[in-house]
Amino acid sequence: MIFGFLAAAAFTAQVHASEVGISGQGHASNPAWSPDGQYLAFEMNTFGGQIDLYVVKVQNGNAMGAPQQVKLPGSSSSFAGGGAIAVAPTWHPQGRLIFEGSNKGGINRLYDWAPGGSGATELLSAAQIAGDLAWPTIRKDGGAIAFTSDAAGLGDIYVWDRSSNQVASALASPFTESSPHYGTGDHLVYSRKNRGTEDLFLLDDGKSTPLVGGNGDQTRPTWAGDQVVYFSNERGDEHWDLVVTSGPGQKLVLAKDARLPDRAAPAVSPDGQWVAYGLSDPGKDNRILFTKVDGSSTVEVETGLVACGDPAVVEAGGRWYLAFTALPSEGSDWRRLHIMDITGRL
Amino acid sequence: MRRFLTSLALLSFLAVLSAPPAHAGSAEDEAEHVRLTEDMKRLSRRSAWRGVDEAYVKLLDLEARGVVLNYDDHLMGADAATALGDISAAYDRLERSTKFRTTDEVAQRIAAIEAAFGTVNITVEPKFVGAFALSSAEMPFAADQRNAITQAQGALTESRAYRGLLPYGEYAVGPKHFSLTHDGGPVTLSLTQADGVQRAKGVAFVGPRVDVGAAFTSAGQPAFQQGELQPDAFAGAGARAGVGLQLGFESGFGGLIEVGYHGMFGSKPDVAADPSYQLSSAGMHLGYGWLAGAWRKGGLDLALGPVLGFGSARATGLGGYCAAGDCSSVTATDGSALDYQAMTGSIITTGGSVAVSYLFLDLGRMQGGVGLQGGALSDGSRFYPWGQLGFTVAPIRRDG
Repeated sequence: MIFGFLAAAAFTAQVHASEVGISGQGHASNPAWSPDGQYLAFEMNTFGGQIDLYVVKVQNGNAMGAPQQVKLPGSSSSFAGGGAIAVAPTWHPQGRLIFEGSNKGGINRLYDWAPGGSGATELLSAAQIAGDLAWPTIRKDGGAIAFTSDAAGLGDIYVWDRSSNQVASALASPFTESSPHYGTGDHLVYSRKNRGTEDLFLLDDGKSTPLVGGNGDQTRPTWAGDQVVYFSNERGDEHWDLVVTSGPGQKLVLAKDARLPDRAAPAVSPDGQWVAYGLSDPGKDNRILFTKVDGSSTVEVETGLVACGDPAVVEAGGRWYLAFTALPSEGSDWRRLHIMDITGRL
Repeated sequence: MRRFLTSLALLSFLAVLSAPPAHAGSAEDEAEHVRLTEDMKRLSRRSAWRGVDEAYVKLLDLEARGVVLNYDDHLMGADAATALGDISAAYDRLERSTKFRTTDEVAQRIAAIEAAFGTVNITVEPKFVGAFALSSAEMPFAADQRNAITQAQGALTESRAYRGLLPYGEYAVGPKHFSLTHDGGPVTLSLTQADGVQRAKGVAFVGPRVDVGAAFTSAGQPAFQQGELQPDAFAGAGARAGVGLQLGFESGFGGLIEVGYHGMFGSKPDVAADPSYQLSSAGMHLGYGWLAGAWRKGGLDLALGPVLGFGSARATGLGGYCAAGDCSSVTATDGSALDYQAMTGSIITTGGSVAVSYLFLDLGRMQGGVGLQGGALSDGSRFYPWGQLGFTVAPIRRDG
C-alpha cells in the first residue's frame, strides 16, 4: 500500500502555472510556440463568428507584456466590420508565423507575419494559387510549405517552394485531403475523407500510400520521430483516443478519451518521445498527461485548473515549457492560456 | 445700432455654421467616396487587392477634388499596396494615414519598412542588349519582401526601369551586381550599351554563289508602237544558271552580284502546217547580270534586286496588231501569211528578281539548299515574267 502511494506520487506532480493576461473576451485555444520559445501564438474565440490571433512574448515561462493581436490585411480599418478569422498558427524555423485567415464573408488564405514586422501579408497571391487555402505545414528546413486548396475542386495538397516562389500540386484526388504534416525531408502524412470517415495516408515523391484506416475518423496526424501520432474516434463519436502508428496497419492506443483540440494535431515533446494531452473525463481534466510514444509510461502534471487541454511544449534555454488552456474553475466563462515550466518532470 | 451689431454677429455665426468645410467635395464626390470605400471593403474580403488598389487610386482623384480621405482609406490602400508588392506606395499610404492619428500598428509597420527596405533606381538604356532580369541572391521568406522583388522584376521587364523599395540584400541586374544595405543608402544602377552584349560588326561571310534550276519564261503580247514589227507572244520552259559572289554582314544584311544564262526553248506556233512555210520553234537566250541586296537568318536567305539581260530571241508570227492591219509598213496579199512569218532579233531587257532560298546542306565553307526565284524583265515592248525552281549554293554563316 505504501509502495503504491509512492509510485503514484512519482508520476504525478502539481506545478505552478502562470496565466497569460488577456484583456479581451473569448476562449483561448490552439497555442503554438515559436521554435526558440520566445513567442507563443494562440487563438481567441468568442464563438460569435470571429476568431482573433494573438502573439505574446515569453521569457522564463512568463508572458512579457500584453499579447499583440495579429490582424489580417483589410481588417485593421474600422470599416472592415469585424468577423475576421485568424487561426492555425504555425511557426517557420526563421521565426515567422504562418496562419490561416479570412475576413468576414471572404475566402480563406494563408498569411505571413513576424513579431515587429510590417503587418500580416498574404503568403501566396491568388495568381500563384487560387481558392481557399488551409492546413499549412512547414518543411523542417523551412524551404517549403505544404497546404490544401480547393482551387481544383475538393481539398488537394499543394507545395510552395521558397527558392523558386512557385506552387506545385503535390496530390490531386477526387477526395478531400486535409491536415498534411511534414516529417523528415519531403515526407508528408495527411488525412483523407472518404465515405464519411477519415483515413491516414503517406505522401512521398508524389506517391500516396495508405497508412491507417478503420471505423470513424483517424485524423490530425503529426510526427513523433519516425512514428505518426493522431486522434481516432474509432470507439464512437464522443470518444477520441490518442493513437500512434509505426507503419501501415499498425496501431497502439496511447490514451483513451483525450480532449480533442479545436484544430491542433497531438502535441509532441521537443525530443519526440512524449505526447501531451488532456482528458475529457471531468474527474481527470485537471491535469496534462504525457505518454511515451512507445506507451511504456505516463506522467501526469496537475495544474490546479479544470478542463485542461490544447497542450504545446517547447524547449527554450535548456528548459521545457508547457502551454495549455484551461478554466480556472467549473462554470467559468472563458478558457485562459497558461504556461508551466515542466523541466525535469518527464 | 446695438441691435444691428447683434444681428450681424448672429448672421456671421450662422454663416460659419452653414458654410461647407474648407476642403469638402461635392455631394456626388462624397457619394463616390462612400461607394469606393464599400468596394474596397468587399474586394479585400476576396483578397482582390488589385481591385482595392485601383479603388484607392480613384479615392486619390477624389481627394484632389476636395474630398477628405480618412485613416481607414489610407490603411486599406496600404494593405493593398503591400499585397501587390508596391512597398513604396504602402509606405506613402501609411504615412498619409498618420495625418489623422498614429496607431501602434501603423507606427510599427512604418518602422518595419524603414528597417528592412532600401531605395533603388534601376534603368536599362534602350541600347543595352542582353538579359537584364532582376535577381535576388536569396529569395526572402517574408511575403511582403518577396512581393516587392516580384513587383520590381515585373516593372523592370515591362518598362526597363524601376524606382522604388527593395528589401536589403544582394541583387543582380543583368551583368551588374549590387548590395542594398541599411547603411549604404540608395542604390542607382544603369545598364548602358557598353554593359550589354556587343553586337558583332563587319563581314560575317563572303564567297561564291550559284543558282541553278529549271525555269519557265513567258514573252507577253507586245505593246503597239508605230513603225515597229514585233513577234506574237511566246513562252516555254528552259533553264537558268548563274554564278556570282555573295557577301553578308553580322547584322544579317548583305548583297550579291551574279551573272548567268537565262534560256527558254519554246514550241512551234499553234498554226496549221503549210508546205509554203517552214515553222521553227520559239526560243530566247539571254545573258544576265543580277545585283541584289540580301538578308540571311539561319538557313533562310532572301535576295532582291535589279536584273539586266541581253541576248537574242526567235519567234514565228507577227504580233496581233500587225496581223489586224495596224502596221502601216506591212502589206500582205495573204493576211494569214503573217502568222507564218519567222522573226529573230536581239533584245535588251531590264527588270527585277527575287530569290528565296532555304540552305540546309553543310558543304564545308559553303551551304546548299533549295531556291525559288522569280522576276520580270521588260524590253520596252513587252514583259517577260519568269519563275525558277532549283538549287542554291552560297557561303555559310557559321553562327547564323
